[in-house]
Amino acid sequence: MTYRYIAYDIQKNLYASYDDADFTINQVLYWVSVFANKLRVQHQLSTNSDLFTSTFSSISVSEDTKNRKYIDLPVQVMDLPNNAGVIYITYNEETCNCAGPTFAQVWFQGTSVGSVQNLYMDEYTKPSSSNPYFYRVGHRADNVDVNRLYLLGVEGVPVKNVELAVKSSIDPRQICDLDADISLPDELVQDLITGVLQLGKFIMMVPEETTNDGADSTEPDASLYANRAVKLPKSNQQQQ
Amino acid sequence: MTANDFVSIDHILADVTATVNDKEYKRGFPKGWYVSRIQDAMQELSFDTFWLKVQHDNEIPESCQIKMPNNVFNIREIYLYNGAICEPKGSQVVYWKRLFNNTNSGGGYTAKVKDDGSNPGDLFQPNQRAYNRNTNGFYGPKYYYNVMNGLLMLSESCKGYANVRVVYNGMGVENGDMPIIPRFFERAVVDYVEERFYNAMKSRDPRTFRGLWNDSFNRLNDLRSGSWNKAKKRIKAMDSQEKESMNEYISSMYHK
Repeated sequence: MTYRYIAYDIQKNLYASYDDADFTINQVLYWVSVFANKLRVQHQLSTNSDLFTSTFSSISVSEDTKNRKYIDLPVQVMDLPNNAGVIYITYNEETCNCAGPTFAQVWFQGTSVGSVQNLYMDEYTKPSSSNPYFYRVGHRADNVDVNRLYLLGVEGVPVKNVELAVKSSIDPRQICDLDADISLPDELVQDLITGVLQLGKFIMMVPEETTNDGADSTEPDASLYANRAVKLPKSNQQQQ
Repeated sequence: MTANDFVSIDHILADVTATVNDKEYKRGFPKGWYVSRIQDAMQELSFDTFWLKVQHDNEIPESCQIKMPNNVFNIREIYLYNGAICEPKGSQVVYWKRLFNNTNSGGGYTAKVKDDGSNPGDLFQPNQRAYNRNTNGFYGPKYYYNVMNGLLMLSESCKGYANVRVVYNGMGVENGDMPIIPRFFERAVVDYVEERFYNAMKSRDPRTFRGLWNDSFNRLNDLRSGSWNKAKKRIKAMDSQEKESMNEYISSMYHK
């Protein structure tokens, strides 16, 4: 199922219900991606399938100003419990990059920044080059927007790149081709269409002015929007 | 223990993580946490069954004090011997002396009862020499030890030998090393780790995990069918040849 098919179908349905609606196809596409992402997370949690898995055979490792090693996530990753959105990160202990013999392949395990100190308390969980960890910094680092995974335990190892597999989300900015397949199982397309239509209807119910700033003394023109309020009796009218 | 057959850590982990649904280590516990619990299990089994025996050989130091090694908790045997460590000659058993505490070289020491039996300051037993002395003027063994402050303290006479061999009960490997698991402990170790997992999860989600923890606790600790008790029984039932030999030895004592 392509974006074009779904987006135009939804747009047509919205126009059929509200002839005053003014939705661009880009807006519908944005809603489609928003709702598709929600459905993908729900589907992932219920099935734990690899349908939304993306792999990257070589991601460069960088260092920040405090010599902490990290990688920039190449895609937006699902925020699942216990960093389950990152399926694996591996590097090769022999070659210090993503290539090398299988026996020397080392897996990074997920942790959170807050629990890192706890890992150092046990000899068996202590981060090391053979027992490395990653944690995610997904908002800002030194006032710069980032989407990183920091690597722990490889401080003394010259790791150049790593292999990565993640459960990825759809980035609305990267939907360039309307004829691309939407990455969602067919059985969820109905939920997607219903969800986006409800989202559209909800948005159309929101009146233009929700606060009274005192600048406009005229009564809001509710008929401009497809609003249930139009159908309600006026407050000064007596109910029969 | 008369066995030299072991299971790997990965073998245990594959079993445990499949049961607790954590094959990807995404439920909040890293792989190291599970390995640490495996080591705990082996440690507890060591305390409960004394299955592991560890031998240490040392030269007798001038101070007559040997630091107790790590990962041991119970002295089983001590021998003095001459010759090389790999070829002991003329061994002598070392006995335990109550409240013996040497300071240096074994010559200066404190003990409630001296090795000549004397204790002149004691109001109630002013001189035990009278009670202990035998016809040869011998007051008991001169080769003795005690453990104080983490030090194995030997009597001065022990310096007449070159080496000391101590057999301990061990607790398994050093913390941080990969645990070694005999095959007959496999079920006990698996059940122990599962019980620890559910116990930890209980505080996160009591409604889901309390029942699971209860099942795993019974699977481990049930007096009849629990794997922990089975492991203890196995250890006691082992060494058939030793038991046979002991029976023959005891039964022939009074008949030959």
